[in-house]
Amino acid sequence: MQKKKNPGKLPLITFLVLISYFFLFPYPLGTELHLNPVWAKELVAGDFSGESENQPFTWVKTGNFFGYFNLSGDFYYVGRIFFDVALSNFGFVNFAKITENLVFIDNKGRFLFSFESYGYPVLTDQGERILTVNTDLCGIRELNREGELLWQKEFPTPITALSLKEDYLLIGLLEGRFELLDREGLLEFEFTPTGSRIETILGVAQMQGRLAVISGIDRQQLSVFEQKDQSFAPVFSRNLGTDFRREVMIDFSEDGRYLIFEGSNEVSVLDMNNRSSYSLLTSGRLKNFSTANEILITLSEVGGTTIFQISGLPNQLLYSELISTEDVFLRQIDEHLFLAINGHLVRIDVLEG
Amino acid sequence: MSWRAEFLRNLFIFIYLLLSFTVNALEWPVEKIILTATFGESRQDHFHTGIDLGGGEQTIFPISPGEVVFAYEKRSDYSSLPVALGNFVVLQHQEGIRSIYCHLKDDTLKRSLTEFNLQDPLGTVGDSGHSHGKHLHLSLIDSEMKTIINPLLVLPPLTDRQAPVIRRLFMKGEGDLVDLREGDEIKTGEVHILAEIYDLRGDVSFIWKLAPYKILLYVNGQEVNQVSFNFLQAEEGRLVLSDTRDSYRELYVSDWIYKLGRLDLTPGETHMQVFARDFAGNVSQHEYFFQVKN
Repeated sequence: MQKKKNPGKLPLITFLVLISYFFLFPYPLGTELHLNPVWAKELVAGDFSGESENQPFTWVKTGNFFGYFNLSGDFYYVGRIFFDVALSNFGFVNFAKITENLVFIDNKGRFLFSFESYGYPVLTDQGERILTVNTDLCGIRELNREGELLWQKEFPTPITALSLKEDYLLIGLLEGRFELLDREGLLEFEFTPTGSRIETILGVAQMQGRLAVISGIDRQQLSVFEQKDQSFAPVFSRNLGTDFRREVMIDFSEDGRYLIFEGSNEVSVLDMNNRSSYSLLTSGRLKNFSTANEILITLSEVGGTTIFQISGLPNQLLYSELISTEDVFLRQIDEHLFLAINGHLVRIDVLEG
Repeated sequence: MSWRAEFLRNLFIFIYLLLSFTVNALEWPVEKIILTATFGESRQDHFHTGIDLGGGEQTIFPISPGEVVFAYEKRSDYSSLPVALGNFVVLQHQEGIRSIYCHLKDDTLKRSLTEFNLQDPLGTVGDSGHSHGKHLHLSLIDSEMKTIINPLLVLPPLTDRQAPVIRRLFMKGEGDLVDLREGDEIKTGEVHILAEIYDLRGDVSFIWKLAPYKILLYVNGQEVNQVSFNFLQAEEGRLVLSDTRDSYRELYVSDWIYKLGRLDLTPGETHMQVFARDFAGNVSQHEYFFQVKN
C-alpha cells in the first residue's frame, strides 16, 4: 500500500526552520528608547545643602544663572552670572567684564581662594588646572592655586579654538596653525593644515592620542592626527564642503570611537574604527551636543526655537522634539540627561529597552 | 640673528607693508577718529596689540576691501574659550594682511556678506567683551610674516600737536629705585635706567595717557637703546617688539614706566638724554648731567 503523503508537513517544517532561524540568528530591529522624566526644579539663586552628597553632581549654566546639583535634583548652589562663569566640579569663578581678581568659590558657594589676574579663566572639568586667556586672545597662561604663573605662551595672532584636558591643551590659531602643549606648556606638536585658499583654524578636539582639526576657507577640511611613537602623524583628511567663518563645534564621543562635528544643518559623525562618515540632519544650526553610551543628544536652533534630538550613534535618529525657546542648556551624565529650559532644570533618563 | 639681519628684516617688513598698502590705501574704520589707546601700551600683563578708537556708537567700515575669515557674536556663536574681544570680525586683505574689529555692539555684526568693500558697514562700535566703554579695538596682523602691526604705521596720518611727556627718570642699582635729578652724584656700577613717559591726547582737557611711538636713550652722545612700537612678533613663546626683542616683562615696570636699558657707570661727568616721539613727529627731550663717583 502506497504511503499517503501528508500535505501539511512541508509548511510545518518550513515554519519550524524559520522560527529556529530567528531564535538562532536574531537580527536587531533597532534601539527602543524610553524617556523617563524624573524631576523638574526651578532655578532660583541661593545657597542650598544638597542632601545626597555621595551622588554624582554636575553644573548647569543657562541664561543669567548657573548652579550645582546632584542626580536627585538637590541644588548645592545657584548663582547669578556676573559677566561669565568658568565652571568645574571643584568650583567656579564668576567673573566680571573687567576682572582684576579671580575669586574661586566651591560648588556650595564657599570661598576657596583668590588671586590677581587680568585674563578670563578657563578650568578643566575637575578644576585641577586653571588657565587664563589674555583679553586680546593672543596669549594663554596657567596658574596654580596661589596665582603663581606656571607657564605662559603668547602668539602673533588670536586663539580661535581650544580644547583643554587634564594632560594636554590644544590651541587653534587664526593664522592657520595649531599647537598641542603639554602640562608644562611645552610644545608637543604643531601643524599648519594647507590646501585652503585662506588658512585658519575653526575647531579643535583631542582625546587619547588623537587630534582633530577643522581648518581653512575655500576648501574647509577636517584633519585627524594620531600619536605614533613620540609624535603625531596625519591619518585622515577630508574636504568638508562647508563654508564656516566662525568656530565650529567638534569633539570626540565619550569613548573616543566617534568624532562628532558641525556641518551645514547637520551633524557629521566619523567612525574612528573604520573611517566611515555619517550625517544626521538637524534642521537648524547646531547649538550643543553630548554623547554617552553610544547615544548622541543634539540641540539645534531654528528661528527662536530649539530642536532636541536623540540619536543612536552613528546615525540612527530615535527621537525629535521642538522646544519653543532658543536658550536650552544640555548636560549628560551616563543615561541621565539634564535640560535647562526657561529657568527650570529637568532630569530625563534615557533608557533602552 | 645679528642686529644687521634683524634691521634688514624689519626694513623688509616695513617696505613690504608700505608697498602692500600703497596700492590699496587704507582708510580709517570710523568717521570720527578719536584715538584712545595706542599700540604697545601696557595692559597689566601683556602689550596692547592694536589701537582703540572712541567716539561713541559709530558705524564701522573695513580699512580696505576684504573677506571675512572669522567672526564671533556672543548671542549666536559657539566659542570654546571666553572671548574678551566681545563681538568681533576678522577680514583678510591682500598679501595676507588681516584686520580685526572688536567690541562691536550686540546684534550689529553684519553676517550677510563675506566680501566687504570700503563702503559696506561691518557693524557698530560697542562695548562688548573686556571693555571699559564704547570703543573699537583695531588690530592688524600679517599672517604671512607672523607679526602684529602697529595700525598707525599704515593708516592715514593723524594731526597731533601734543608732544609726549617725559615725567621722571629713575635709576636702579643695588638699592632702591632713585629719582634722577640734575647734578646728582651717583656711585659707579651697574644701574638700570627707567623712565615714566607717556603721550597725551590732544582733544581732551584732562590727562589721558597714550604710549609714545619711540623712546631713545643716549649716554654721552651715544645711543644706548631705542624702543619703537612698530611690530610685535613671537619669539620663544613670547610676543616681543621687533626692534629691541623686548617682551612685555622686559620693557614695562608698570603701566607708563619703561625699562630703558642697563648702564655700567664709570667715574666722571655723565650726560644722559631721553627722547620720546609720537606718531605725528612731536618730540620731547630730557637731559641730565650727573657726576659718577667711586
